[in-house]
Amino acid sequence: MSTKEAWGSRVGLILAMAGNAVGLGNFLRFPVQAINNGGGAFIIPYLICFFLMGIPLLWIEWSSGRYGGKFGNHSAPFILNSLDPKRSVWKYVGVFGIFTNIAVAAYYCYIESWTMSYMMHSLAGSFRGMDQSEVADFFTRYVDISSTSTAIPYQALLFFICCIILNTYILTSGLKGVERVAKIGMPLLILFGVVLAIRGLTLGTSGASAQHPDADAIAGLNFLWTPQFDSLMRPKVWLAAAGQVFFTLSLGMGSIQCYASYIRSKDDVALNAASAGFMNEFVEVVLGSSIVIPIAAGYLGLDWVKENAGFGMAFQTMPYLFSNWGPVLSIVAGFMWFGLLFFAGITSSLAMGTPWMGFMRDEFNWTSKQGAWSFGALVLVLGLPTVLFFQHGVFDEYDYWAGTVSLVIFALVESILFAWVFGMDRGWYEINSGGDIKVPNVYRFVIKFITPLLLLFVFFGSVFTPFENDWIAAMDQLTAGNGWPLDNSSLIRQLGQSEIRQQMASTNDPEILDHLYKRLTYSNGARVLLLSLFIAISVLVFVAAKKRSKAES
Amino acid sequence: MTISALILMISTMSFVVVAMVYFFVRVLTAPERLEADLLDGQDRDEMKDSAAVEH
Repeated sequence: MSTKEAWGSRVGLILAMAGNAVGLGNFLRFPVQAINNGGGAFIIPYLICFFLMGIPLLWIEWSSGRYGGKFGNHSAPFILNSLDPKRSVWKYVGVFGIFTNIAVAAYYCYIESWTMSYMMHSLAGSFRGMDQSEVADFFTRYVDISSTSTAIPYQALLFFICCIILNTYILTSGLKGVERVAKIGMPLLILFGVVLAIRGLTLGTSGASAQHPDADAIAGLNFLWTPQFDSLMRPKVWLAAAGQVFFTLSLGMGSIQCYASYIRSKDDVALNAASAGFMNEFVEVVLGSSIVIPIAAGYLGLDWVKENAGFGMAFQTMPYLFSNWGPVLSIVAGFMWFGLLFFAGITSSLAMGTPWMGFMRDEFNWTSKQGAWSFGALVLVLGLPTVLFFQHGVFDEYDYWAGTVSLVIFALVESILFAWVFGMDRGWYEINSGGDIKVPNVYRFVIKFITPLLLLFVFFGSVFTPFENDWIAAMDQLTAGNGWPLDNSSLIRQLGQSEIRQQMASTNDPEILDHLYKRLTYSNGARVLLLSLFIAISVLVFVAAKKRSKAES
Repeated sequence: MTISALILMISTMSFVVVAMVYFFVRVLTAPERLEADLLDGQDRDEMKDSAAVEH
């Protein structure tokens, strides 16, 4: 990216920001979270969290990015540093804002490559005549390293490399390339989504069969939207809602700050952030809830959906469901479905490349091409283990530490830095400066108190997740003097890999033991890789800071 | 579909659509400032110099 780089148009900026936020989770994670957390009751805490945590964090990230950009900083370490130049610690907190993007891109590009591959397979009619289990097997074989004689999943690897090359090539054009893709990808994504959503909303009972006589799309919608107010009293639901809002808006990654650092100091952030945020909500709440669940319930029945709702449905179930629409429509629908997932993915993965490129350009005078190709190389090196050792949990390990924990830590610290260290007076001025809308005054209080508290709630909720996520039972146990029963999904247990160790302790089967031992080894390997990346970026930040001090003195 | 589910679905979706359209229209009708900003890097370089002094 050149020094004179800036967004070409305001619409392009908003589409790029919305594209950054809109990802696979909008279509796959949101409906599953809603199904698992009380259907319609989930939407109420979800919207509350959107207004009390999502929108405020968007304003924080947009305005701190623009503020850092005033001083020529385009990456999280020095953007955070510009908010409090006296303390060097913020630079190292900002390392998360580069680390997360590279580490998430490493496995995210792999999922993106699945959507590319499935688009091609849909066009080629690869799923024609397959029943549901055959479609599911197709995916299992696609990612299974043991299914080829050389232990290399060639097809998955080929598409993964193509996906990285495509991302890198677009990034070499800097913001212009990102903006161009967003301007094409976002409208197409919305168009494809609307077409599929209309089908989902009008499917009714027409998909019922002898095998699934109770199949009814309306029953799926009914379950998704029926309010169950008793679930509002469960902390688990609130935690899930806060987590969903957090992840769907791509908060705590550093990519929003990076994008915002390229806008002019007098340009609006208040309206832009709200516009991009609500565009993401449209894709998530309106389109996301109207495709997967109703279509799956329309062909397989609500009971099946309740039992099988998960991320894998996109690849293991949807192609089979589309095959019910006839030879031509199944190709069109498959292409649209995987096309919209692809556009959702690529607009996000491109955003992940820009913080690294901005950092290397600002601090080491790298060109756009150098920045983009080095990003591609990093993603390839880090991503290969997720492709080759997918079955051994490397993917999950990346997703947990980089795609979950790091985001929460970074967002929590940046919200405290913005509201309490930079100060609410200056922060409020930054949010409203140049604004085309006036942010309601109540948000001054929300940003200072409520948002950091909600983030603390999310953070401690993930550190101390109680057994089976049952907070009420855990509180009862605690008050009875039996201690706090931790779930294996809690950060503390994850750190010690308790789940794998418990499974190892409970079996004598040598084959299972071997599999678990491999999983443990590869998970540790993934952690070493992630830690090495974090340390390497920290060293680069240290060198950059030294260079800056020398230049200043 | 139950009435309560229908009400929640329609009201939530309508709210999100109206909010998205409202904000996007505000963006489209606001004075365009970014397109005239291609020389912004020069301003930013100057600010970077002044920031270096401040830091």
